[in-house]
Amino acid sequence: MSKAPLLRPFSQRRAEKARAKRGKSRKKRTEKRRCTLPQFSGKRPIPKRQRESAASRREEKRPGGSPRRRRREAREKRKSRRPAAMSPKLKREAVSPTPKSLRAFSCQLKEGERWMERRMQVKARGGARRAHHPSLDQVSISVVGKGVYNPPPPSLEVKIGEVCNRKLVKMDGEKSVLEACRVMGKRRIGSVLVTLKGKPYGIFTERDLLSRVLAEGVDPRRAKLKDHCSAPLITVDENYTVRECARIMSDMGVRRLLVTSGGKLVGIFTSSDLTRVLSRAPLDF
Amino acid sequence: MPKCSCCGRELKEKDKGKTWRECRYCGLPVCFNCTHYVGTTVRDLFGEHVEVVCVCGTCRIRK
Repeated sequence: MSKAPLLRPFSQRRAEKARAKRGKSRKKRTEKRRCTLPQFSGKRPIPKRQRESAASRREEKRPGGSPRRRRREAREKRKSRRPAAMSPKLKREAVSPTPKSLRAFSCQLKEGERWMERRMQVKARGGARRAHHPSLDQVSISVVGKGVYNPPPPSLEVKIGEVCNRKLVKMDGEKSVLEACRVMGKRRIGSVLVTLKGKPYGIFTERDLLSRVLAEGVDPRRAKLKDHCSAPLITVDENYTVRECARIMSDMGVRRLLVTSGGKLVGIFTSSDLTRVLSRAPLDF
Repeated sequence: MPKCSCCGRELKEKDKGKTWRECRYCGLPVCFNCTHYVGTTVRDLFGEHVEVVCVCGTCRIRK
């Protein structure tokens, strides 16, 4: 039995009519869209050669392809650059370290670093937020931000050429001690390199100021740098390690070593540089 | 494999500069435990300066 149309309200009927109309038009449109393709329209498909020639013509017209194609290629390139997916076993280990992994990671710093790397990889993918290893409290690896792994800081085996101060403050030996003191105070440094006719001659340090100028009652305004500086210079090659330099400094009773490379002065290694390296060196346990 | 000329410890070739070094005077390998450092006066284009070099126990000049 069919439904009585009069039982429905007028507004409902009107809505139904409109819906039917819309559905018809959509169907028409979709059909039209589908029909444009040669496979659906019943037309003869374009041969491969023709298609290729058309593609080459398009390539000539637009070098590098269409914007859509370029975008797709870039997306694929980005995808290929991403690191390989972590195995579920590794992921499990990173999330909750088992006693076995604890044993493996607790002693060696390198192992700790590797663990850290893995952990950061997991973290970068948005997982394993709770991951924490007790040995990491003792390992000096700085973590900045999400998924960022900082390389380990310099150790005592680093060459001094890498950690020395390359900014040498030079002053002519004819200048007064007072001027040198002003420069040292302004730049917050403890020594200046004294030169004679452009060539390095000696070094004027805070100790020289105390023991050779002030203690002897010399007027710093009149005293010349070349008369009160420490000469000759004590130099080391840049290939020496920080550990060796620390030993040299303690053996020779100096706080500053000038760094040379191929017979040329390249920098200065001071006790403050040594403390800086020591404070950032990883623990060796 | 090189050996320390003073204590006879076996040294690794890859650790040169890290755990051992050659004596500047005799050229023999010396481990860092047996190394001594002496200041030598060097005269070059810039004038005179003291360069610290590492030496073995036998080449060390005692004061």
